Amino acid sequence: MTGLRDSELRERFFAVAEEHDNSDWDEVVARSGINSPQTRKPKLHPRALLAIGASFALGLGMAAALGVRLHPAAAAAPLPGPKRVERLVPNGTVKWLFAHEPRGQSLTAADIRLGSTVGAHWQPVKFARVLTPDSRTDAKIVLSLIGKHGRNVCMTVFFPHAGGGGCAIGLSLRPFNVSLLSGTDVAPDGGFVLAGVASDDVARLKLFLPHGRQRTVTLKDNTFVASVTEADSPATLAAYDSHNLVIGRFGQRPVGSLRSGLPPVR
Amino acid sequence: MDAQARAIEDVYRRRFVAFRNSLASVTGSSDTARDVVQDAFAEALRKRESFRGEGALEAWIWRIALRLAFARRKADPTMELTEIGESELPQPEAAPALAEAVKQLPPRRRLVVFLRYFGDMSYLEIGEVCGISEGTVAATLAQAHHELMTTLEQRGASA
Repeated sequence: MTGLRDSELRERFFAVAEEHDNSDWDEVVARSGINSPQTRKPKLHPRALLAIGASFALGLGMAAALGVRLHPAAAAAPLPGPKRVERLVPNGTVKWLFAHEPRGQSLTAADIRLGSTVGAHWQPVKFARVLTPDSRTDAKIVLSLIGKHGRNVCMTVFFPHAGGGGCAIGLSLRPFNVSLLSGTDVAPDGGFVLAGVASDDVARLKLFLPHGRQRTVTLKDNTFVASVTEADSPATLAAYDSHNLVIGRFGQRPVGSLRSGLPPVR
Repeated sequence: MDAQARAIEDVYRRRFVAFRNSLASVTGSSDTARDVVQDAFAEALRKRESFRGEGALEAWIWRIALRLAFARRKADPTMELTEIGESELPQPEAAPALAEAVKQLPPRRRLVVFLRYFGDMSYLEIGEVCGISEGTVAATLAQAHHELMTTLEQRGASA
């Protein structure tokens, strides 16, 4: 007897897990007793911001934070779009990446130093390519394979003045892995940017906005980038498989606005 | 807010549902679990300067959350995470065979299973939260899989 496989158990637990999201960050702040959040712009070199991008699997980082706060009314609004994942897809992968197919650009051609990519300081980089998810933006996304056998996928998102990223161990990508970026350099109107890598299971991505509006998000070489203004928040990015079933979702309420009236702190 | 507070907020926004579902297995209800998650992140915000970067921030918050959840279950605010308490499948009626099988697991093994499947955590992260090695997490899960399979087969409910 071999016992239950990891993926089988995951399916069983998934079936009884509650997907409803009743989070409320304002309430957390209120409970903490912190009542005077200060706006502070970290004095970091743009490259240094790469170290604090939102991460996946390992939980290595955070959103690029440039001193913002929630807009209470928008923060309380329900997330639009699908409320639950309809099919669980564990162990996602990006076949062309593992086949070392030279899509996009090399790091050299894109003038990106290997040392500025997430994961390069932890494990040897076996393969890396620079992708442009949407030619209408300045975003570049580096997908790299690190580790002794090059089995761990890392993603680094580059904007001109900000970035983010993270890594997943082994051949176990989630349907999509999102880096959340905010702040004046990437979203001057108080909105945010969702950028990331989607597994081969994802056929298309759709962004759900308030009042029933929707936007298709371009998926190119398994990468994507989507800007959301504060007025368009909250938003939900949903991933669909080839049968049009929801296989991943990421909801985001407004991350704040520098027009909130808070004085700048030096 | 400072960078550390922003990092905590980011974990909250990305992982709220995983925290709540995992903790529901300890508190016994989703509503109580939500309350614990809110308290845990509030405590993390208050004590963020005490986090020295030894290990992942998320693991640190998980430890706070689990300590609060077990304390809530025992109504003992001084309870520490080392005193692993009882936990069970929330809404057992939704999957009675699985709930029964999970109940047969020893408490620590059960917790590792919940962190893996409700918390969607890697072996590395579970190890950090529970203070055990990645290898021990793998071994614990392998044992749990075997035991769950055995119980489910006995009940004639295996897939």
